[in-house]
Amino acid sequence: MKTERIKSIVLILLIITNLVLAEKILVNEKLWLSGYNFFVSTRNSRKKNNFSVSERLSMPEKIVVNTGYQSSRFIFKRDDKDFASINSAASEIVKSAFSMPKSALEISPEDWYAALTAKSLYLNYSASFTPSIFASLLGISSSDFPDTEFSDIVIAENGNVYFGGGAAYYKIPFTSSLASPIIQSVFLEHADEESVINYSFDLNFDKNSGESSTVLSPMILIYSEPVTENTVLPENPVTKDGEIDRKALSGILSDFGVNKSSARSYTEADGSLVYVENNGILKITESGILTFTARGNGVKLKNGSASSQIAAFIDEINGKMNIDADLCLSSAQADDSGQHFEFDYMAKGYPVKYADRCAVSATVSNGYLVSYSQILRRFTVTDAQSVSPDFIQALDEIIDTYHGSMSEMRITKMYPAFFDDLSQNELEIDWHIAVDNVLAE
Amino acid sequence: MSWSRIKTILIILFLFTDIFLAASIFTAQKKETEISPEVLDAANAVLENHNIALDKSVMFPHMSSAPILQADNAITDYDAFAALILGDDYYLEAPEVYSSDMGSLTFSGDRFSFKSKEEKKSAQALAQKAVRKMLFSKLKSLGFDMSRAKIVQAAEKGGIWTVKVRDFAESRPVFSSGIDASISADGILSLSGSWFNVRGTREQGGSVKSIMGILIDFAEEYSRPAEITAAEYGYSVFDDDNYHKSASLIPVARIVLKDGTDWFADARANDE
Repeated sequence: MKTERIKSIVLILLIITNLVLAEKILVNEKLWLSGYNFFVSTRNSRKKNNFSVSERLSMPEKIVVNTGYQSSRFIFKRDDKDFASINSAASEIVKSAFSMPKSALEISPEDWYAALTAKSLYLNYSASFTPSIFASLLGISSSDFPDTEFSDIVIAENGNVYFGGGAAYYKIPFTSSLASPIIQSVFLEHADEESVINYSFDLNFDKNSGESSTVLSPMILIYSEPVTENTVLPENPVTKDGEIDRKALSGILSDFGVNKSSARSYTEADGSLVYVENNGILKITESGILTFTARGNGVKLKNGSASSQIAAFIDEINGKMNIDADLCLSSAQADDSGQHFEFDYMAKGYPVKYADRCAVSATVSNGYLVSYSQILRRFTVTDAQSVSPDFIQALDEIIDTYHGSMSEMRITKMYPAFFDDLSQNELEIDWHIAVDNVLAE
Repeated sequence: MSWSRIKTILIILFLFTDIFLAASIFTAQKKETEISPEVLDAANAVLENHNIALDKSVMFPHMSSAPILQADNAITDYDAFAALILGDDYYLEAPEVYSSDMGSLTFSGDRFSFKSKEEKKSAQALAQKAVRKMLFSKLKSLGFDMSRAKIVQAAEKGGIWTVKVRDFAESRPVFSSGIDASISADGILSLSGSWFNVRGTREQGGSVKSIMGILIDFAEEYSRPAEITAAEYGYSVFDDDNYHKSASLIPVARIVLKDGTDWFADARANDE
């Protein structure tokens, strides 16, 4: 009996030893890459963003529907409930028009203004595009278009498409029945309202009058009333208890080619966290500014056009950082070093501006991400209200600021916007004013 | 067949399997640590082509994988460190140069250099034990974690000890944590180096390049004749030029040349 008991114990011990030794050999075989963890991989699967950059890449910043009278123009911002349907119809027309080869005819500024003042849809873009870049955003091919840059598109009631906003204006003769119902429905829905919105050219603000003068770009919208809007609270998702939260960032490291388990990293004197890998340097500051600079080729992006590649990349980052914010393309340029894109955050349909930088900037070259910068922010709309200064008051202030040393001043942009100084204080609506190289005497 | 017999057969079976598995693991580990003659010959050939000689006494270290360690710079703030080492009456003589009646202190990135103004009076040498006690006590007072530190070199001449202290982690030297000191019976005459206090946290890490591969990379990068006298693995911040408030310590290889210089290489293998 005793012998049997001993034999049983020996057998159990041998089985356990067998399992332990076998496990040692199996683990040593390295069934997966170091740093890979299946469970972490499933947990990090991206949460879908309500504001997909990929889906909103070709969206204008705002649409102005002109129902036929100067006092019946209605602005639709990207967060307005009717914006999506208006944009959808406009997008169909624009896509079809831009797909027609050799169709653009140069027109005079007067023809352009005439199209604007008639029943029309005006699509205003933050960025200036060449026709080829714009076509790539729409996912179509375009050829034989003039070598020009534009940021404005007008769709006439009959479907003719006009584009311009730079040095020249063009018309694509086109027929479509999609624009008229939109214009009619806006007219009916707002029949009791009077919305006096003028363009700068309506009031001749775009023309010099006298020796010491200020001119506004013709397409600047003149608001007759101050803008009232909820305040917006920005949140930095990168810090916790005053320090950078490495855990919060761990999900996006692999997107920049950083192997979290074997990365070389350090903290600089100002608290910035830096990861150094063979393919690039990733830096995150305590104020939530992320920058990536490639060494060598950079980070390989998924297949597609450069704009779709970068849009998908931003969606990936935002999804992992739980940033559910609208991003509007504000610049798209191409040169020998690659394609450069810039984006602004949009809050309540208005851009969020930063001093000296934009929300996201990226350079793509031959399918690789060469540089990337993002101010990581989440936005919460509060119940508090803010009111912008009066348009003319704001204009007067900027003129007073610059006019002392200038004989002529050109205001190229003026629109409502929020300003974020990275301090995470509540943002109030104000005016963004861009002044061209002013001439000093 | 009785259950007792079955148990006997199973015991014999599992015993043989265990012996086989244990032998396999032992052989595999032995193979990992040894460098095959073919690899050695091939490496030697590459080194010779680049006029790199390998001293016969060089021992080839082995490290198959290593975690990434997290560490905090013992110098949290230049001003605070200056107060600790020079006293509260320190003043800033120039950017990153501090002085007081006690001595002068300069910083360069993570590194510091302190020279005492006090002159050595006593010719009598301290015992090495006393030197260790004095030095470790001083470094502890400066916020250095000395729990794993060791004196790696010590020599006495004319009553002055020249001592090198190095920190260790995972049983490997931490090259970013080293202090050169000169000490006499009158006290500490000079201190220079850098120090990172290793935290308990670490990252999994990954594979480490073989020492042969690192020697070949060195031969291709060094581009002038040299003789290798030693090679070892260790840890380092791997960036001397800038100040780091905290940093990851990555596995590195240190190659020591006959002219006394060191060459460091990132020893992480890139697992793709």
